Amino acid sequence: MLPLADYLQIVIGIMTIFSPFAAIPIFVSLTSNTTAIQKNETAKTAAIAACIAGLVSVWIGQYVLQFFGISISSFKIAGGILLLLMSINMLNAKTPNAKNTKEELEEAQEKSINISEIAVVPLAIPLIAGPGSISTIIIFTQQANTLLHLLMMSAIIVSISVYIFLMLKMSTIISNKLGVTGINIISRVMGLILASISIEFIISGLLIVFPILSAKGF
Amino acid sequence: MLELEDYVKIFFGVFAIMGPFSAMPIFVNLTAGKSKIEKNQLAKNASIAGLMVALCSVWLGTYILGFFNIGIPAFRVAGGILLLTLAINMINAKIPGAKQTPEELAEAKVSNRDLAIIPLAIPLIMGPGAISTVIVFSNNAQGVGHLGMMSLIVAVLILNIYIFLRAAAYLSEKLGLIGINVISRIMGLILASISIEFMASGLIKLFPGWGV
Repeated sequence: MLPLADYLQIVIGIMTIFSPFAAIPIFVSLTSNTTAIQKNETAKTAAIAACIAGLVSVWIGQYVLQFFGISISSFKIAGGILLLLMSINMLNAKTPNAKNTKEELEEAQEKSINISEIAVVPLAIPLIAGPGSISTIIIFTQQANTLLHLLMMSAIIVSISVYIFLMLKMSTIISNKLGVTGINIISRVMGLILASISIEFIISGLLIVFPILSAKGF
Repeated sequence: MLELEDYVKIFFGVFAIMGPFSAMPIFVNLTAGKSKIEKNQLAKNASIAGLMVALCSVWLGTYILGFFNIGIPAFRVAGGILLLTLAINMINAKIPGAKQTPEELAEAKVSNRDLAIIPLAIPLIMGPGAISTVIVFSNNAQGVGHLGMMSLIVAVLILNIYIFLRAAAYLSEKLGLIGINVISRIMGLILASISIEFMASGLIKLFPGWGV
């Protein structure tokens, strides 16, 4: 278990990438012709699916890495590089391709006639819980190796998922109030935080892989 | 020869780059309009050709590098950089240019020649990323036993690709574009980490001071 201040940092870190803001514009456009009940239903399913993906990353992530023979330091560097690339996209107010491509959006639009089909894929995965979120969650989970830490991480994931559900539920209001510019500003600020987190990941990985980098007087 | 546990790791490491999911959509696209028998024939020939390339990489890779006077550490760094760019493409759900460019796809669609070897076997099943991964892992230990195990690993993986290509039309309809892209993104994440391991182990050999 880490000090409480560290968990605050983890919450903010995860919220920048495991966030509803990339999903809101797409959620609004895909659900434009549906009733409020259907929207609620879709938001609930998406939030639950994202929550499950997050919990799986917390509890099974490290075993998957072991399975592929990947050390956590290499994963930190690789995840950091990936997050840096995504955050640059966010700073430019573009939806990162790692979250959604144009062709995928078209396929989702075709499917959205039956609204329940888009809740899990693409809304929950990969728009909310994509490779960036998964790697961030796995890296933060690796910071301590106690049951209590895993439980804290799970609590964080569940509460962020509740927040995601509320944001998706109110997405029509939010996107009307904020407009494209408002949402883009949020995404730019999040991108800046994410870029800094990605550098922290890369550096902490590099220090383990190349111990000389931390030597004094170097 | 390494421990059994190491071979399990190698198996899944190679699987991340030699998985069936990148070749499948392109196979479906290229063989659209062909009969079932023709498709099966293509899948079989492509897999056999892919297996030949993989076995050559296992047994001859080191000698080819030796011929060009390339050290294994340098090849690890280069292969790592290549894999990292491939992985970033996979994370962005793009077909890496190292596997196939749009021009190549257009050419393959109009030509009447057999598609089994080029582009299906090379570079879709065994592209530069897969070849360098196989060569790097084949150099993890010396001896015929290790190379035999590596041959077994690539043979099983190619068999896996063959089975998936046989079922390609059905599976790609079931998974949809998004489903296949989600798998390719996760595989990209794993591959990116493997690429860092390659680069790090190469760099430590090249600059021994870094590891102290």
